[in-house]
Amino acid sequence: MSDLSTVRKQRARGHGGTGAPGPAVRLVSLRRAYGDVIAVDGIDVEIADGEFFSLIGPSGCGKTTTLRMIAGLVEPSDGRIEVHGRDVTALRPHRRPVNTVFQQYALFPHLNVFENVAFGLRERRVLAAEITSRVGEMLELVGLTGRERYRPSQLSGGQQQRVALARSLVLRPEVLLLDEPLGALDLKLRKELQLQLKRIQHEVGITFIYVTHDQEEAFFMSDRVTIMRDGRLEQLGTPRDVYQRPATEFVAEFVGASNRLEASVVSADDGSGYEVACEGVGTFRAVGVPGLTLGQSVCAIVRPEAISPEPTGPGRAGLTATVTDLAYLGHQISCVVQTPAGAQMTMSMHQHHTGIAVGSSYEFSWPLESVWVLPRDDAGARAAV
Amino acid sequence: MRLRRPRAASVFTGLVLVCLYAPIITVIVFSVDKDPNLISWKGFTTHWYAQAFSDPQVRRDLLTSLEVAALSTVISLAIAICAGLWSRQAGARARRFFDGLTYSRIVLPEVVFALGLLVLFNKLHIAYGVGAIVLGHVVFNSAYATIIIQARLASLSPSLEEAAADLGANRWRVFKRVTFPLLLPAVLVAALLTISFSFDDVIVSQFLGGDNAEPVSVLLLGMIHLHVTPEVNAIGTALMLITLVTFATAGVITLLRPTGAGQMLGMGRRAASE
Repeated sequence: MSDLSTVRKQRARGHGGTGAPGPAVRLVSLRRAYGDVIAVDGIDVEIADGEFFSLIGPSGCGKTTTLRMIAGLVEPSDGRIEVHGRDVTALRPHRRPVNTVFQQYALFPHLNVFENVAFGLRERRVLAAEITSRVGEMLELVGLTGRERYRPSQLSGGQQQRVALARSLVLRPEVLLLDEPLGALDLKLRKELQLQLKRIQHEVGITFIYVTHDQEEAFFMSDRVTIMRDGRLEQLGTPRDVYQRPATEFVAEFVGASNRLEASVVSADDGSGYEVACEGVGTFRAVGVPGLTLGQSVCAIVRPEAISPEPTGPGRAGLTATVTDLAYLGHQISCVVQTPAGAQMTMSMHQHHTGIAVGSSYEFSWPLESVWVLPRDDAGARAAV
Repeated sequence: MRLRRPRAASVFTGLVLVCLYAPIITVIVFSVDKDPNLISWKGFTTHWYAQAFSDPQVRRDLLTSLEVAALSTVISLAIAICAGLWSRQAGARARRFFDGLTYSRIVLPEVVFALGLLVLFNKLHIAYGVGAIVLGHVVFNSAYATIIIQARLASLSPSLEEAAADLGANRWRVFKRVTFPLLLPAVLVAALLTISFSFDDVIVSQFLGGDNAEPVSVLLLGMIHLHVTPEVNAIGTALMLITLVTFATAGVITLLRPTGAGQMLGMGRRAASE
């Protein structure tokens, strides 16, 4: 697409953003309080140029407030926001080099698709001929060519979402902020638009900051994610990092680690992991979050796909449990078991383990390298439920 | 199974409606009746209309009415839009106080504030006339307009204005390109209502007109003091038509677009409840 490479070149010329060293966005001790309620409690993040970065967390964790502070729609109580090294904290929204895609799209109902997309260009006094070509180019990018004269109310949810995206992207922002842009769409459409968003981000090369409560969506699209809780950053990393090595029980719960065994540290990290004791399983060695202390109460995370119905052997740990539920998911079987300690575990097994029946007890085990140990956190576990 | 019709209630309602509308129908009928003594039907004529509207005084007073309606509408709308925008971001207490002020301008007896303005203008040496009547009409018209505009503003999502700001519009441009166009239907409805309220107001117009200005509603009142003539019926019918047409237009706009003015149209005029 030659059009798009032009977009990228012009954008680079326009802002000097792309190619400039340093992060696209830097948040320094950013804080926002509403009276006694602290929505965002001093966060520090650096977001790289061209990165697809997601803020995820349960509702009320401060992710949207953070995004709105970057957009300039909410004033920080404290801290600093930099975009490509420039302090924008005191700038009003219309002066910031960022644009937002709003949750409910916020398309102007009195303007047609073309005028919605042209809105920002008209504010910048772009010449009419250029407006026509840039709007046309953008509508092509989002697949809405031919809908120029439609009113937003005549479009489907997915189409409205794409108009909102085009309306922001046409301004070639240094950073695009997206506030749950797919939240109002049904599952099938969400999947489709996730792919499109990812493709578009790749093509235009603009830094995306994406807010969602859906960790699966964030993991699918992002280069890096950060999980927020009570206005703070709980963990920041690549989706793989966060999924495989959650830092806290809250994160583990939030990213869907359903099997958490209560355990305690019996010998400190010697380089090859901790030795932990777990009721019903015994003592085994596993890697985990650095800095756990002797005797500390911890969680051993076991991925559902790592568990199989076979006896414990060398390099494995396991227990005997009673099957309470079986569900066939095409090529896989999802199996819920009750441990002697009364905990529930979920596992997904291949179809060839067909001998399993509800109500019977079996030995189940998992390789030790698939275990991840992290500190217990009762408050976190409750908040995530 | 069908419920028995509540016959007594139907008959009673019918009677009330007849009593309410009979005088109006009488006025309309006599305005086209050839009988100058208004006693019996002597055939159809438009003579009285021609006679009434060829009278220079009637024409001059009609123009005065139009002038007053137009000016008070423009001022009221400006006040209402500012008030609506202000009250949206005001604190809860300030907002309640402000709403109280707005509603009091509708609820307070018109005679009372007309008298108050009469005294006040006298003290301030403000001349009675068109200007004074306009100010008097603004007192209640701005209140009606404020309620309509506030209702519409409340139904607008703030994210639309945020989006406009996000796309690079400053506060004035946000208002011009997003807020005002979205308010427009409500502004139109408010304008039509204030025009008709202004047109058929008698009390304020009577008190504050002085010797210089006489709207047609006041003229009508004066003519009735002497004698009810066919011309009075013609003028009355014409006034009624003007009010009806503006109200109906407002109603159509309300049906076509959400304006939050629905309750206003059902509310009737303050004079009717006094």
